[in-house]
Amino acid sequence: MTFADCLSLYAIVAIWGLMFINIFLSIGGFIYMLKVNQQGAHKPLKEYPMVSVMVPAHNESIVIRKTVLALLNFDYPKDRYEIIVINDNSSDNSAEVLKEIQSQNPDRKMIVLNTDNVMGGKGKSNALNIALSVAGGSVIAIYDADNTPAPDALRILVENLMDDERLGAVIGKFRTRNRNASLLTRFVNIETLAYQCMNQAGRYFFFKLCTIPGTNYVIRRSIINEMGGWDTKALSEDTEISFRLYRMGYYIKFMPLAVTWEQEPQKLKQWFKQRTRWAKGNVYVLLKNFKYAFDRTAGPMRLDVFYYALVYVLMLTSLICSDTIFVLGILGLCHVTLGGFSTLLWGMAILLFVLNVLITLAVERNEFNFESAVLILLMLFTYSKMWVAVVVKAIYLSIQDAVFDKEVVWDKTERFEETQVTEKEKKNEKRNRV
Amino acid sequence: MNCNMTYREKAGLILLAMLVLLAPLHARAGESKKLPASDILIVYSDGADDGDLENVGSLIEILTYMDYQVSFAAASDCSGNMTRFSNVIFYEVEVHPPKFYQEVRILEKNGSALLFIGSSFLKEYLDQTQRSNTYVFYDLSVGRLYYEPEHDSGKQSLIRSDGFLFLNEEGDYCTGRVEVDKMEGYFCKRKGNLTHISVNDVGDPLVNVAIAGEIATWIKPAENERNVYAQYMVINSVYPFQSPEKLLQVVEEFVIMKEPFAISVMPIYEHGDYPAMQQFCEVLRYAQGNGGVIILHSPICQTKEFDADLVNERIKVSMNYYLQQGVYPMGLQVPESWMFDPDKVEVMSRFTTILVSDEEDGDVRNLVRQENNNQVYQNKHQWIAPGVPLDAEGASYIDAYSTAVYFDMTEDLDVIKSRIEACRSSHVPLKSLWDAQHSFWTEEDTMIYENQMILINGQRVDKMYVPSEQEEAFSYRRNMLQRFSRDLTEENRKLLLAVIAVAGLFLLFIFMARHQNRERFFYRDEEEDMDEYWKNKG
Repeated sequence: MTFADCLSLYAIVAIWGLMFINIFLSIGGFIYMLKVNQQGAHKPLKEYPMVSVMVPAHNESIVIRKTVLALLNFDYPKDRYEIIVINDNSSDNSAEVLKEIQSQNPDRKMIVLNTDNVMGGKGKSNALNIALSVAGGSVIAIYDADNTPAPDALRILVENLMDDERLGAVIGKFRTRNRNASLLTRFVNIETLAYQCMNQAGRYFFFKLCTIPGTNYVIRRSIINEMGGWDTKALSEDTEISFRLYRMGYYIKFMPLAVTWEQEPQKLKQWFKQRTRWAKGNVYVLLKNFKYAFDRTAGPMRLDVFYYALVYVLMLTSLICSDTIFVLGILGLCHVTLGGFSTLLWGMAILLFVLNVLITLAVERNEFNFESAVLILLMLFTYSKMWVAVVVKAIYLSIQDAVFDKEVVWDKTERFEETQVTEKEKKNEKRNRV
Repeated sequence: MNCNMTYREKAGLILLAMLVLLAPLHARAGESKKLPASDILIVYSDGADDGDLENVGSLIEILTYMDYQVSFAAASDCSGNMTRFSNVIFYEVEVHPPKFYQEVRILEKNGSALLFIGSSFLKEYLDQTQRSNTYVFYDLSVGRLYYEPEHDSGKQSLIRSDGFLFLNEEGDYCTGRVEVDKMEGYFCKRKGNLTHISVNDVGDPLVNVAIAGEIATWIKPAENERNVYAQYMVINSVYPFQSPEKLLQVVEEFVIMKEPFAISVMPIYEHGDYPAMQQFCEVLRYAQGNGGVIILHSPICQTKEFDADLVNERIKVSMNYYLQQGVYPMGLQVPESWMFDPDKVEVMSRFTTILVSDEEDGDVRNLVRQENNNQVYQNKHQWIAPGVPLDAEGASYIDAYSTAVYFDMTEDLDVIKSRIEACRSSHVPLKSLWDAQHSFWTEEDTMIYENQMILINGQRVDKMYVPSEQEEAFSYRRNMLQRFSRDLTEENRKLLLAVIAVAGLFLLFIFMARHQNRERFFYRDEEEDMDEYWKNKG
């Protein structure tokens, strides 16, 4: 058995193993989606708790107006929620934009905290901690500055949170607002639906496990207080806080009917920067929490630790192995002599991958079409390779940070002016899709 | 440059420059002097093309098989060195140094045996030595050769040449017939110490057979002086994974017909103790005990550069496996080109008996260009050359040196039988390799076969066949990974079924989701909600 055979065998086992995990989660996710849609999302409360909606924003003048207007338009009782925007060391005209909205809505409780480079500018966790210090709500809702949540999103999230005392947080679904802006945003849209929505649903359905996505979620104030706020060292404060919730004995619910629309990076450079930050953050959280994988008292979070380890170690290495063998094979530098190692195996894996992602698109309107199927196939050979590059860079940066004891730096994702699509264009697009 | 140089300094500098410029010429002259002494010198044309070099290569092979030491070089390199040779072959020397013919004339006068192959150089030589009236020349390019390698065999072949020359004086010896248009000439004629072969296309099978015979006669012209060599029937290049049953059937044919034979087996590098290998070796042992001689085929070299150490290592491992199974290879089978390559000659030096296959491996033309003698002669091999088939049966017509008639074990048994019959009825005698002496050594083993005794590492072993019992529950000692790789093939079908099931389930899910979406049961269009919201918002 040659070295190439060993690598191939490893890649086959790892890729098929991960494939079956995803299939398993997709089946669970699909059933859960079906159940939620049949039962509905609303669980009316006698008394709605006070909610502090917190929006960390750093140089977000391009998108912040739309976001705050959407927040003001929640169908949640107007006197039962406040909006706290942390204009975190911005150098653009965000402060003026926010002040204008404040003056246009004098009857609404909207707090704008303008921080300088002494207090602020230290990342999302720090901004949230500042907002927490002035928040009056017993429930905290977090939205990113580029989000436009649906009017009922907050009510759905809060109603579900208050329905079960064991729940520490409830997360909603986020969709790509600018999905038609570029090929990259189309990929991101599919990825979001398949891996951040269907997987969350599957994990929640089977294991009552979810990971907070960083936006469109509510969490009990008491828990945040108990935690001592957000971990300012974590670049993925969402994943980090999820793990802390599990350890405290709470669980997190996924509620796909609470929807927010967010702007995704339109250019490769921004995407790469954002994803590297996420991956780096996840590596940090994984390393910080890996000890709990072997701690029986850690509860269901052990599964999540293993899940992250599988994704970041197994998937990364198996993709690198299979790609290396593929390239060396084409160059004639290596030859796999493994019995049963055939194109059929790869063909079957690709078929399952495409079908798996197509399921997640099928439950959405205007997403399931031939173009998407082609995009999924294209993603397999492009986007997934980019993911490998992202993780490799994130690991390299993490090692560099550890060796040189560097401080965590928050790389803000650049925003874009969105082109208004006319109603006519939208109708044409929909007609074409139908 | 310093312009104030004295006349003496300038003269010195010019002399130095001349010495530097002339140095390559000196070096070349020095090289040409290195042309080693040998039994026969082959002279070919300066700047000979690939076709001519290939034919020269064939001549070298023929002479090597006849066990002669041969030197070979282009005419320029031979000039001034030829008087050391008593036998010289001129192969189509179209381009040569000026006055080269004068050196040839000296050789002729000295009584050296000169063989001219082809017509162009002989024509020029005879013209230059005022003997233009001693030949006829036909400026035609196509002729037909009639030659009888054995009595009444009557073979013929279409031949091409840049003109045909025939000596018109009565010769001491004359054989074969060449028809050019309606004129007729000979194939080979000897007059005194000058012999002429009128056809130069050594690549043509009949010409090759004829030239081999005539060269043997040229070197030993006295009647009854020439030896007659045998032909050997060889089952060629048998792989261990080929059907042992079929091999046994072929072997049985030779055994039943009581004819000696040999089997060339491909080398193996691992799993020599596997049941399949044991079965294969069982047949080989049976063959060995019933008149068959086993020959090991050389490892097939896949690398660009030939690695003699690696090949020796492979031969060592393979020999060891066969010896452990009671199979005693007596020699090595190699491709034709091996005799020209010093690295390969080194590998062959460990074997007395060399069987040459007709497969191509290496560029003989380049090797002829690079070398100037058949180094391999020093190894004193016992050569068995590939036979040159002149008909469908493929029996050998060459008796000037030992030849092998190759059998393909995958052929139909009737075909094999008819070929054995053809060899039996050939004028070239059939012989057993058990009648010769053989030896080889590797880093681990030595084998000597003489006086009908096989000595492996000094210990006598018996080649008599004793049936062995096959191990029923053989442990393949596969490790976990190898077990898994085997299982992977078996599991692929199950995996395919699982994929079909999952794909079916997914398609059902997709159908369900689309159906509910169409009924507007599953989701309201969130995007439309948002559109409506922003519209209201103005």
